[in-house]
Amino acid sequence: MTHAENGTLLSYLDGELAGPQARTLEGHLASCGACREDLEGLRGLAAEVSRALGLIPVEVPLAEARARFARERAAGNPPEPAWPARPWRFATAGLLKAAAIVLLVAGAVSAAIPGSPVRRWAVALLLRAGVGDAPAPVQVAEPPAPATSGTAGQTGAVSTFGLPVQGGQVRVSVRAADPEARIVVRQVDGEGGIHSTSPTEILRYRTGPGWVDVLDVRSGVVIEIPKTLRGATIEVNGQVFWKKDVDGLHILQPTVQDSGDESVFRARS
Amino acid sequence: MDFDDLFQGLYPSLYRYLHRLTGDADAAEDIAQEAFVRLLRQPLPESEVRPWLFTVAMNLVRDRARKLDRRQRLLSAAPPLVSAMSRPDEDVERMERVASVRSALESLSERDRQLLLMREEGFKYEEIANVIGVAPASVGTLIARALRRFVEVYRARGSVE
Repeated sequence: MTHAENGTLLSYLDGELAGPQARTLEGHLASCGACREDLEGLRGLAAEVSRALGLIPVEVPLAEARARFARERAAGNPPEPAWPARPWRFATAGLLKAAAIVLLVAGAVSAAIPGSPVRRWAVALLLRAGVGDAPAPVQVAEPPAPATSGTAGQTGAVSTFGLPVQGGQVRVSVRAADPEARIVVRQVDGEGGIHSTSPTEILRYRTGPGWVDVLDVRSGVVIEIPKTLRGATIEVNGQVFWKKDVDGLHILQPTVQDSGDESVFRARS
Repeated sequence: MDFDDLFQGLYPSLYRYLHRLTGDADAAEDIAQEAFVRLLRQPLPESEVRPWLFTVAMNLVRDRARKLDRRQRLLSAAPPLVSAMSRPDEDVERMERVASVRSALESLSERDRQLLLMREEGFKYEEIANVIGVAPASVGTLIARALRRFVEVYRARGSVE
């Protein structure tokens, strides 16, 4: 294989190469230092651009926009056809992948709530919020759009995620995952770290101010989240599983198992 | 997903994209609003909504620039820097950095700006290709070039940490 083009390398970093192409490129990268150097150079460029764009202060006036939109809609401007359209429903059904994900929340997370075991506060929060009735979303950095939407009653590939606290940081630790699984961590403040748990695999992810989007979790990944952050959310395949805000920690999905040390969740995508 | 959920889910991304693209908060708000109003009249399959919204929004940006005949000024419409005497040093530094980012964006072609900002919003290459009007296979190469062009200008302004 000749040296990889920059476009191919960036496509690989962005999770845009098909599996066979990605495997071929990985084989080449394993033996080509120049291309590995180019890959890291591109990763650095992309991160620098993300950081720079994040410097532009953008406060999204969502509440005002919703009110303005509601006023225009109520005024009948414009006349509306039925929404969503039938094709929308068909398309939605077609997008529902048969994939299930298990999220493990380690008991150590409860360190952020002194004297409150995971089971008790998780149950209390779920009872307070109602299953699937999430509290108002925490104001965190806006994400790339979620990959899929959730539904019930389907099973498929299973991935396992842990949220232990180590060295004063909350971590998202992926130990075994469906390659299609997508994890997005958003933070109000602080800078999270990310690294692969495999010494040989190349980790593919996007990151910007306040968010990390893991594109390929098959090799295992650890995302470190500062313990002192004011707010954060953790999503798997577009579903928010966990969030921290000024009121404390919130589990936003029903548990399927709760040992006291770990809470286990199943996400449908 | 109903239209309200759709609005809540997509508005922040569209607004942020438009704000960064135009440098004008009011324009971003008006254009995003108009794009959603048009979407209301155009029920679409879910997979087509986001690219459609951004395409319409981009057309509205062009229309607006054409009408106002101030296309270049749209990008440089950042709030004017105030005297360094009236601001703490860190505020001045931050504003200078923002100005550097805007300058680097402005130095790019419209297509390069779209490529970088759409990638930043998490678009898939195929969606970017549809909105920009290029072959999907070329998107990686085009973005890689746009990244380099942006960073060259940005670094030249001495804004790298």
